[in-house]
Amino acid sequence: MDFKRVYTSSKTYYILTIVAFAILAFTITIAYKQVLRMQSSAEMVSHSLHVYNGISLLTAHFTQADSEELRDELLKPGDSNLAFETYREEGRVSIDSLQLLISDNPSQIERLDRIKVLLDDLYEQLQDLNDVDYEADNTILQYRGAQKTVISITLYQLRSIKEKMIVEEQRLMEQRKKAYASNKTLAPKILLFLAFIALMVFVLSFIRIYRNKARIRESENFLKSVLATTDNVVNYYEPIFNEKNEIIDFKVVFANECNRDYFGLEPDKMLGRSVIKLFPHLKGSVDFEKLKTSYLNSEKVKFDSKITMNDSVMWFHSFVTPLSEGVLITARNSSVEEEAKNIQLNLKKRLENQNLKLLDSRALLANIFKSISHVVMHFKSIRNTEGAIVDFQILFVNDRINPITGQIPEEIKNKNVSEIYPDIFENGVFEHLVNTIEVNKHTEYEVPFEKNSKTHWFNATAIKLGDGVTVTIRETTGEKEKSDELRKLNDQLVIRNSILTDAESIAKIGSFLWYMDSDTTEISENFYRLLGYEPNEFKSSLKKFRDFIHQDDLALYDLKAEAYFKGETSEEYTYRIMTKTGAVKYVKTNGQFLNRNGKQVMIGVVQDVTQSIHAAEEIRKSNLDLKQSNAELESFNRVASHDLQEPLRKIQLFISRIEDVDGGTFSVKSQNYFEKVKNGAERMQGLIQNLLSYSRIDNSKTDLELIDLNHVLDKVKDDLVASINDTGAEITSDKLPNINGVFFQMEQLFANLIANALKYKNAATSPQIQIQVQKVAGTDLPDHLLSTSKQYHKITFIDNGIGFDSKHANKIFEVFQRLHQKTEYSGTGIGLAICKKIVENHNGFIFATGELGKGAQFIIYLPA
Amino acid sequence: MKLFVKYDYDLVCKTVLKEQLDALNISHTHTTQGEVKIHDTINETTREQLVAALGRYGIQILSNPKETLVERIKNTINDLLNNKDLRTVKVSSYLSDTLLYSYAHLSTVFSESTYTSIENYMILKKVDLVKERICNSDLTLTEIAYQLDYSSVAHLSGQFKKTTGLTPSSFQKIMKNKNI
Amino acid sequence: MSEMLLNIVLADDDEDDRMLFSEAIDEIQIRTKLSLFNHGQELMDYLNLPNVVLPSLIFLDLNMPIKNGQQCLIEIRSNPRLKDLCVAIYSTSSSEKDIEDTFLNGANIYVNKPNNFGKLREVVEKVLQLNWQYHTSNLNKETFLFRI
Repeated sequence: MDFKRVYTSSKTYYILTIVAFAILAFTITIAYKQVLRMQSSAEMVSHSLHVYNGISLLTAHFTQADSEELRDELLKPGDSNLAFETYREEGRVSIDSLQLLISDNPSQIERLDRIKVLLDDLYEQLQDLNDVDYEADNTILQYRGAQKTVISITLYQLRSIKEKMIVEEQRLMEQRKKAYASNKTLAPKILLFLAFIALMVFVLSFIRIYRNKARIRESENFLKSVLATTDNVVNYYEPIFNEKNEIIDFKVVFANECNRDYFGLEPDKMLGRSVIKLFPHLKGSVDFEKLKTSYLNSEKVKFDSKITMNDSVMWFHSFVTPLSEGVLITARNSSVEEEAKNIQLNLKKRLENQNLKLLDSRALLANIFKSISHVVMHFKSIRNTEGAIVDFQILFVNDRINPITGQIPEEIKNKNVSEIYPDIFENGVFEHLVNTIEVNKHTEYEVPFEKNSKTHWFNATAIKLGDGVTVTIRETTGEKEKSDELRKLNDQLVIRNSILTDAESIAKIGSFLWYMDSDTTEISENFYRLLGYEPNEFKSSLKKFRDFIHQDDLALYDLKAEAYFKGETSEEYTYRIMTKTGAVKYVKTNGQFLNRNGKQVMIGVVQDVTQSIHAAEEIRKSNLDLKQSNAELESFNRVASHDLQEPLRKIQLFISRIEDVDGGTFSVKSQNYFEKVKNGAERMQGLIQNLLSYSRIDNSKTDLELIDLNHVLDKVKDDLVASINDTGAEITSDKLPNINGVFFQMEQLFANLIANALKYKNAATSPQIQIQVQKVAGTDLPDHLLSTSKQYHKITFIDNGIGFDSKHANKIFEVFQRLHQKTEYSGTGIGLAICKKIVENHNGFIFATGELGKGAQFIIYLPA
Repeated sequence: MKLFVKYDYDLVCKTVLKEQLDALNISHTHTTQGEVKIHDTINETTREQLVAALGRYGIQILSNPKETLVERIKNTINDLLNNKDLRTVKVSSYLSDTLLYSYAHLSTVFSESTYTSIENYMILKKVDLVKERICNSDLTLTEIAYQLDYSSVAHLSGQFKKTTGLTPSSFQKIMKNKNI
Repeated sequence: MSEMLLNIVLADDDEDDRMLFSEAIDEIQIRTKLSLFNHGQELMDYLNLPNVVLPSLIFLDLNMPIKNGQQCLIEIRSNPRLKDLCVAIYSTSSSEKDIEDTFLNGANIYVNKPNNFGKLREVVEKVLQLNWQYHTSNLNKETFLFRI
């Protein structure tokens, strides 16, 4: 604790005042007590006097008994009793009153009790005296005399006690008087003394306070004058706390004039305001933390800060002194020093850097000279008296000279060129060098050098430097050879490129190379042409290419492009583009990733597939048309046949009914007509049924099963047994194969072919039908057939019937195509058409060959 | 859930017959298919009870002698078809030997009451067995043909087609789809 | 049982066919009682009458107005009271699909309408015989499938 602080602190004076008050209060209490004590002393004195009085009264009382008057009085006859009683009463009263008075003094009470006893004795003795017969009698007189003596003794005793009591009372009296006297003198003295002390304290305090105040005023004045005249900013801040008792800000309690000079802030207006608001740069800064620590830890803190105010930068060197209520900040403007310091620092740094660079470049140069394959030389001009260059002095040459000429740099340094390379005066190099210096432009030239009887070629560059020239020489022998080779390769490449370009053009292909990282593309000439442009007419990029994509295919393109980009797929895909002229083309793209020079690139081709797409579209359309018309035809067939069948069936039914009922009663003519009606109806039914089965063939294609054609043949032979027997036909067959097919269709095929052979038999001979089987490869099929299977069963039906002209070979398979008169051979003209349809339905082929009058062959190919 | 069962009609009928007869305490012997020999005579009430009881299972007691004979012919044919040993036997002689009537008589009686001939019945019955085997077994047509004494699959197929109007395979297909 | 009358019904919208059918029935040996219906709905109404004597055989044309043969067939097969009835389809159609469909829907016999009265008679007779056999002999009704 600083004594000075205690001394100057106002708190000290509060304490002193309180002490003074306490002394006063004490004084008053003491005085009061003193007065009280005096009062009691006085009372005690008066009490003693009363006691004294009582004793006197008592003494007087018993002294009376000694007197003769009293005795006489008492002895008076008659009223003697009354007088005695009064006397006794008197005695009792005085004893009672005395008893009251001395009740606080036990020794006196004791004495009084003895007096009481003696008094009683006295009364008795007096009584005895009285009772003696007054008749003169000696004895009586004698007795009376004796009695009187007894009384005297009692009285004497009484008196002695009384004396003792008086002595006691006198002692007490003396004592009390003394106490009273002492009290009387002591009380005022103490009071006076204490009052003086209090006064003294007050005076002392006042003097102190006054002196302090004077000193404070003095120092304040001094401080003010100091603060006003200083060029330091002196501010006093008091902290502002938040509810958590943390310092969040300071408020300005004092600010000197310097604030105006440096910060343009009016000191008076700063008072009471937030420091952070006045100096926003403090907010959250280290400086602010320092203010806080200074206050909290009561320690002095120093810091330098850079303050930007009103567009000017200032440096401040600040001291923070913690005071009891806040912190005092003294900040010195150190901007000028700081600037000077900075300039100096920068200068030093630059110097150092330059030095370093210099060192670096020197080292670099040395390294360059060492590492480069070039020969570097520096020549200094040697001029004659007229100032013309006549020679050069070699100032520098690097190690590279050694492998070429075998010279060691150190050995030729500082020597003259004329001595070392006399050749240059002959091969024109000297002129080049002189020219370089005189005209001050750098010169390049080629120079040959003979070594090991082989000419080496060098390329030299001369640059003027001061009054000299730096020559850089590079051997170009290898380069020359390489460039020749390169030229050759280039020629080949040109040829190949032109082949590729032609190929692209013919195949309608464009190729591209896509740098994925930079998203740039290189596209081939034909690619430009595909887009409707001349080669290199625009700068290609993937983004640019996207503009060509047909709007409807953009989504697909983007999707695929993304997939490509992620490397998920490299499937080819087709989309549309719009060329420059607005024509729509279909293109197919395919590409693959490559790593080229560490870069991810994609190369690929784009093919114009417009024509094939169009062609495919055409095919699809015509296929669709075909299917539609086929379907229409079939449904027409079905409906027609079905609906035709109904009335026909009725006709036939009723025909049969008529025949049943009235057949016997017909005339011959009617009978004939009736037969014709019946035949007509039957033919019609056959036609319709064939049409129906023809139209139905397609529908059963799904029910393929493995069927044994031998069974089919057996069945057909069974079915046709009547006509076979009728015609005497002979059917021979190889072992037939199993095929995948529809049983009833195969049945129909065989039936139709055999029935055909039976029908168109040669009138002269009985029919011979031969069925041959052969397994053939798909490639062995006749040229015009397009095989879809590797192997086929070739089944040939050969008959010896009427045959047909081979020119009708195709015609016979068409619906309703007949080669013969209806009357000659019955038939619907659908049978072979059905056969063709069945075979084709089984992915096979059927065709016929024949010779008129000799027979026919029906050849069937069915997939094995 | 579907449960596939196979049953022996013969056994079912015999069992039902036996159960019903036993239930009515009728002492009997099952001599041959469709014929039961009752040891004692039975009164009218018992007979009615028996008719009612058997009627529930579609079993009739035949009273007409012609009807009885037809049933016996049918039963004999069924035995013949089910018994492998009897395959080689000539049907007409087997029938007349078994039933002790001339074949001509049997044939006439049969045709009169069934509108069909014994031969047709036999074919129908045989095809019915083929159908049953197609549906209820995994046997191939060849195996069925062999079991039922057809000379060849073609023969079986031919007869099947001729009788039913359907090929065995399309019949099989229909039955398969029908069950699904 | 030749003295028993066979109860047969025919549903066909074609008047001629109904007429010829009944003539054919008259001419065959088997004695029958034939009821004729003009279309499927008429037939179904009849079959659904409360106390009707169910026929032992139903001939059903496929192509009929109001309710066609297939619909009738499905209805019959899904009705517990009618499902055991013997149904013969009597149609002009020889389409494999029609035939297969009717069998799958539960038809027992498929008859193509013949174009000859004699044949008609034969066919009807054959159907009746078959039906008779299936009724009187213990043939498996599950596999009662014929195409005539």
